Amino acid sequence: MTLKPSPSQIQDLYLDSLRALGIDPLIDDIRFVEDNWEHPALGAWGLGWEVWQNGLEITQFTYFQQVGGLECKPVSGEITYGLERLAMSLQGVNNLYDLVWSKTALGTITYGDVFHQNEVEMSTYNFDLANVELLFKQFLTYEQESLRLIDKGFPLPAYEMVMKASHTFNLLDARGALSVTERQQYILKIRRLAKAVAESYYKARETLGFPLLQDKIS
Amino acid sequence: MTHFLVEIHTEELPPKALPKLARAFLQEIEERLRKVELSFDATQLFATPRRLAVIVKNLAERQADTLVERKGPALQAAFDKDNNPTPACLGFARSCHTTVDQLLTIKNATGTWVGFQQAVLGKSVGELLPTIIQQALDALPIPKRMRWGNQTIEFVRPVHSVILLYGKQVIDAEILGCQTGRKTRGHRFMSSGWLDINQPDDYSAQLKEAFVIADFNERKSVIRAAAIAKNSQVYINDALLDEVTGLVEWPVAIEGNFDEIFLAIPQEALISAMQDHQRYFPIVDPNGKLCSQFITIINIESKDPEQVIQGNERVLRARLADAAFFFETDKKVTLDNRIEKLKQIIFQAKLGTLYDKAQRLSHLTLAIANLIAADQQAAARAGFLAKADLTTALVGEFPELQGIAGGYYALADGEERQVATALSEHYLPRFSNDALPASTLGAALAIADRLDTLVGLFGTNQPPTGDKDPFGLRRAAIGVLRILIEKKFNLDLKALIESALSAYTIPLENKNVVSDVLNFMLERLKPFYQDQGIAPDVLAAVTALSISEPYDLHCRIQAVQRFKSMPESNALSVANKRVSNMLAKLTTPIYLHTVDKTLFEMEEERALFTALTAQQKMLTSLSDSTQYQVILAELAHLREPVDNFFDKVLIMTEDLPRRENRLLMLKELRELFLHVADIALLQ
Repeated sequence: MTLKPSPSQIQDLYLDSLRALGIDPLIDDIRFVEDNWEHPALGAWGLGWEVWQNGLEITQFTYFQQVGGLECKPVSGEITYGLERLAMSLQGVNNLYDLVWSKTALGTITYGDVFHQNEVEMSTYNFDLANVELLFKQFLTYEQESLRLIDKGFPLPAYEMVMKASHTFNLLDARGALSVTERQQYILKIRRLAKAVAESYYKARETLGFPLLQDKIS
Repeated sequence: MTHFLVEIHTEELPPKALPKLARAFLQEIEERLRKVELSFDATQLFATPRRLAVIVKNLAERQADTLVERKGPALQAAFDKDNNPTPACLGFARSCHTTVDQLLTIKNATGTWVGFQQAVLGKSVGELLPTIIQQALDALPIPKRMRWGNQTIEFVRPVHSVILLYGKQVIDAEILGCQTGRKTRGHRFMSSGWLDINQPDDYSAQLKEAFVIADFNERKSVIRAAAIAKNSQVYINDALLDEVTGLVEWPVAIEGNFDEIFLAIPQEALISAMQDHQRYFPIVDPNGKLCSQFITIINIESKDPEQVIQGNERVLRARLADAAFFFETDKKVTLDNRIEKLKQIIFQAKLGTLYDKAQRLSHLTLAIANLIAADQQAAARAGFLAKADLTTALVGEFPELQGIAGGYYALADGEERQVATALSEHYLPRFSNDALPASTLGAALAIADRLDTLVGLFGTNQPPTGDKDPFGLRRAAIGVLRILIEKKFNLDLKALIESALSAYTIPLENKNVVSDVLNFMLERLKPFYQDQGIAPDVLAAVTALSISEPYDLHCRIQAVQRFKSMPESNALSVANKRVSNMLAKLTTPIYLHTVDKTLFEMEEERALFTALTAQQKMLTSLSDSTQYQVILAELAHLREPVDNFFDKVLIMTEDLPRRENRLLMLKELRELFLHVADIALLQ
């Protein structure tokens, strides 16, 4: 969840959201513990915290300072809820797969009923089965497509391609298909794309006169 | 008397940086108050996760008034011959906002002028403090400042209110985007709404009513006491205590348990999970054995502490279950079988993989073991296996366990105990004042690992630059020096570096790598000895001899340090300087090889010769390098004959054979001292 610009009472809003979920900060020990977020490949970073509930990290809370290598102005506040963890604590469950997904006329459906097979199959695919040769080709395609679209001045579809390239990189990484040096080179490739997309998007918005940044009160 | 309070109320500050940040804030304010000459008695510092505050006691309300004298035109230029003021004089009076009749005459040795004395009123705290506080905040050592919302202001974390109170009065200003006032907030959950601080004296008490212990040190001792009260066997690491103090405003200690089966996991992994990951304090029995309890400091008097305990236990259980799973799974593949996997891990782009490094370490550790009487076969084995644990899942999850994990797995694999110990010790020392490897084999491996990295990175022209030292080469250099010096291995560093270079099978670009690494490492001795209170001239006196055995250097430095405090040292240092200058100025060499007694003219010559001969005998009987202190203490006896010689004997006499004879004695004098150090360099 992103709030832009980050409101001055953003922490209180977040804590109210926890209360709405049924967490009582007068019972649980809720703390904001320094943890700064960074995604070098996307040229993005911010300062903030991980939020602890009784020692468990339930949320990543970040004030974005840079994206695509550009200064954020205004600054967004990003709140990334750890939904499964929150649910586990609310239901008092030790195993993720025992979470109650829903109670139906036919009985209780658990998180495991819904997601376990997916987890097993996708993990096996990601770690063992993904076609490395194909992934390398896909990466190249997404990279070239992104560059082509940046060239034509279409930052949004170009951004889609960066996301696909980034995901393909993650799959290659999970397959252990990249040596340390290659890995660094791929990160730099994505970083270059991300930066070019960010600059292209900025230019497009500038041409439009930054419509969402106008002072609506006056 | 009136006190002053400043409080910056923020969102949660980084706990590890908090004490430093608070101290800097206090210092920056004090410094500026002194600079503007606003007197005060004492200061008090407050720091919590959500505030930085300073109280200045009995702060003067305004600066003292001062009289400033301004000089105008010269007297003869100020009035014409009819004694009427000239335009220059009238202009000066105007610029002083006064009339000509109010001007004075200033007279000194160089002439006479018209002038004016102006009273300058001292500025009040209301005028001075806003700027002082703003400047103090701008000067804080904040590695990364952030912005928030639509603001252009930058600080550690977003700021919500700023208090500036002088007595009961608010000092109006805008600081960090906030209009100053007397408002702050108490505990995030146990208190609600805004709190009006009456006056600086009430700050601490009012916050305490709002469930905030504002004083960092007070909170720290409350935490220590609360933890000990829960369990007297609690192990409190000081750095962790500081961090925890920076994480809570209202500390409450709770105790939790974990299943005893987890005690089978390496103790270091358990401690790491508790201290580094969860900020818990472990419990250790009197025999140093870890127990299955922990203490954690929470920030709330919970309405249901049991729920908080269960939550914390659940988190720790998950972490320990992971560690136990990794430990058991890792053991299924021996370290020996993991070596192949090192081919997949790049050590450094230009230096090949960790597999290559393992090969080099095997050779180099063996070579070093040979020099310090460690088992050579075990050394080659330890070098070969040293990096294998980097492929284990346990080290993947707990990177701080590198080496230690290798030790456990080596034992499980049935490797020799000394090999396992060397693996677990070889990252020591990890930071300044950390322990050194206890075993000789561990020391050999630790030296080999660091020298290999130093040679590799200097060899590929990647030395540290400025404050950038991404490969920790400065720390590596100090580690090697400390091991050689403190474990009294009298090894030649240059030969060790050459040995490390010869383990590389690929050519390295930098052809001066040996001297570059040697100079870099010896350069590290400066900060090393500075920290130990050894003056730079003492170090210079020893390093002037171009010795590359760090332990030998160390023994000499200790001897010179002691010599410097002896009453004779100053005169002998001056004498050495004199001799050194004399010899340097000679245009022809001294052909004489032995002193010719028949050329003596004066009693002082004979006396110096006798003393020199006695000292030369003493030196041959004390050739052991550990005797430097004794040698210098003996050489100190030369002071009297040397002083007398310089007083009474004309050295540069026209009688050339005598001149040469005298110069030769002085040369021998200097050579005696150069056996230990060049004491001419002492200041």
